[in-house]
Amino acid sequence: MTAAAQSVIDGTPAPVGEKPGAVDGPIGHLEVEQFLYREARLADTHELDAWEALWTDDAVYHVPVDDSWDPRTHMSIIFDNRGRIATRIKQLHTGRRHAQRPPSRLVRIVSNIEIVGTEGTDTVVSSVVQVIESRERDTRTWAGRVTHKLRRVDGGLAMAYKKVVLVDSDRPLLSLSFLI
Amino acid sequence: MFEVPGSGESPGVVSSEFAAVSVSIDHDGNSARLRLEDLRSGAVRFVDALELESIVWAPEGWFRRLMDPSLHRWRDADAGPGIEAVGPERPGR
Amino acid sequence: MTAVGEAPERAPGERVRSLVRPDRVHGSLYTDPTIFAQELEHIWYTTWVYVGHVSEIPQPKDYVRKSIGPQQVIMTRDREGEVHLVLNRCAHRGNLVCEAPSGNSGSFRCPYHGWTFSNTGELLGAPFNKGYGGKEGLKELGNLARVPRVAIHRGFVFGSLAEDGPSLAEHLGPAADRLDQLARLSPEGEVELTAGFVQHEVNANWKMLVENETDGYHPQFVHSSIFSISGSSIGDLYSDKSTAVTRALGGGHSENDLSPEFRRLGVPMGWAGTLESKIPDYVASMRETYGPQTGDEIMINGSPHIMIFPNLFVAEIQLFQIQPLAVDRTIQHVTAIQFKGAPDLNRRLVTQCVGSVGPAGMLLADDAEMYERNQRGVAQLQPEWLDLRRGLHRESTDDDGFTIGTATDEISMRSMWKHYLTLMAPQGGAA
Repeated sequence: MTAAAQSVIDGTPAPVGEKPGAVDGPIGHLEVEQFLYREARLADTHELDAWEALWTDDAVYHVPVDDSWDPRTHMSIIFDNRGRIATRIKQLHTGRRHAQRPPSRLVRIVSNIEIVGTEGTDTVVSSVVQVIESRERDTRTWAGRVTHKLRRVDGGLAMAYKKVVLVDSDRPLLSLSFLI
Repeated sequence: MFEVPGSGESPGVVSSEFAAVSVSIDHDGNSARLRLEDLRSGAVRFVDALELESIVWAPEGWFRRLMDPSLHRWRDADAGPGIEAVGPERPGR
Repeated sequence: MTAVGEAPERAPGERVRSLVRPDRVHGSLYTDPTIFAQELEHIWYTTWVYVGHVSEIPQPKDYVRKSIGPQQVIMTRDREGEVHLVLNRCAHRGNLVCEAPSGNSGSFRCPYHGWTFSNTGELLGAPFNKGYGGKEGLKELGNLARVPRVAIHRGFVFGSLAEDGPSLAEHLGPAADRLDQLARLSPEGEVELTAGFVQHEVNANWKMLVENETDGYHPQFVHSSIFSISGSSIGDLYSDKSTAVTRALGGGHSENDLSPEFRRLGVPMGWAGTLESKIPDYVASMRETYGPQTGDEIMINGSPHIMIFPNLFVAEIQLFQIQPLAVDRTIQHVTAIQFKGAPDLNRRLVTQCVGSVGPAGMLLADDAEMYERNQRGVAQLQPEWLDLRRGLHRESTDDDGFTIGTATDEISMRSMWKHYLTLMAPQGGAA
């Protein structure tokens, strides 16, 4: 593929959607847990627009190869800003994203949820995810440690940052074309 | 960081998949010396300034001979003195 | 009829020759483990294979683990700066001597029994050596195996497991010029591979990948999802309206030469999908190094899109190293190409490359899907053959004597298979 073709992946930011369950005040464990479960369900069931609406405008979505590498100067599996998240969703919406045609059948378990600190207005959450993916080629397990940075927006929660460090991130990986 | 006894400066660690050695400058003596600790075994060696200078000037072949495990740490018990045998003029036996 | 997955039983060379025709190839070439074993012997362990780049081992005693097909190779730099390739197998009991993906060490000590080798492969000693008759006895013991031939072009390190054969220059032929063209995109004339690798595995035969790399027929279909959402006209580069050509370079190498389109565009960095104004430092350095006119020509013509047989694919801004592990299992090691002296450009290249390639890449995940479906598809019994005739009737010869076709013609596949036969079934002798 030509390099020029690759410039298209930086799209324009999409608006952040409405956040359900609007409340104010500090972000508690139950609210965090409900948010992560909801995010997991939307990704599993390919509710793409609802999943995309969980992101803030300054979002970063990162799946590193090596968590010690600077993603600005090194390769990542995914390193999306908000515009590129939108492009990724648009590509899935075309129905011609062959690697997701048909969409993977997914169930994921989110566990070991801990609120580990705050960064400015963001609450930093650590969790573990295990995803079972079934496609015609095979059924396989993906597993990783996840960091979310959650922020209160319009009374609800939104994610400003999500990083998934896969246990096998620096090993040969088959295509990972669903929303991890 | 690793605990270093004595009044040495906080060490750096030089490590690879093959070895891990902490390196610090020790001031317990009457002049400074290098303190090397094999972090896998706990063995410690002090190297004074003149010894260090000699290492800088030592021929590469000297290091290559030093890499032979039978010369020192894994030397047969009845094979006689080890490290003293290192040197271009006295090949180890 | 022969069941696919099982080639007819004949002498190896004759058998393979019967499976490769000028306009089609047999499905068993992608599915038969026996043929894969012969490919390892006659291609991967014979011809020049790309192993790594000198920038991955910048300092004396640096090492990095690499591969030649399924063979695990350690690429090392000795104290004098020379590059060596040794196999990652202890001479004692065959243990891997290196576990870390990279490091700095002048010698390797096997974790099993402590045998210690220099980074050029020489045995330096074994513990308790009286068991071998003392130091003198060590001379009877083995060293790490060395890849017998190592050669470097523009920092690209190639290895051949055969003691004799064509030189690297003979192997590369005109492909060497394309690596030169790539290096000239650096204001300092050097490519650097410093961005690390993503490893993308596919359940498909390695030749599916090689054939796809310079196939200009597929992008409008496989990548239409990304083209359509951007309103991009990139698909037009690979259409019958395009002035781009597919060129067979001999030796199994081929390229999609898009430079006629880039020249028509006439804009520096158009090939990279970026603008001069976004990377002013790079553009200024290029004009300073090469002069305004030559500098602009280099930046307009862009980077090659070349498949160097059997495993090095340079796709403008990214480099793929293809590693076959089994008849239906292949790994693509991919990284963003970085140019020495071009930090502003390099960051953009990483960003673009990460969006496109690897397991989640918006381009490559779809290519991988095609490889895997293709691998499952060719397992069907009928029709036994894969068709390669697109553009066969309109092949022509360019001014340099190379066979060319339009951007979508299957010139590159036909030339790959032609070379494949010279390795697998040399005339006048069984393979």
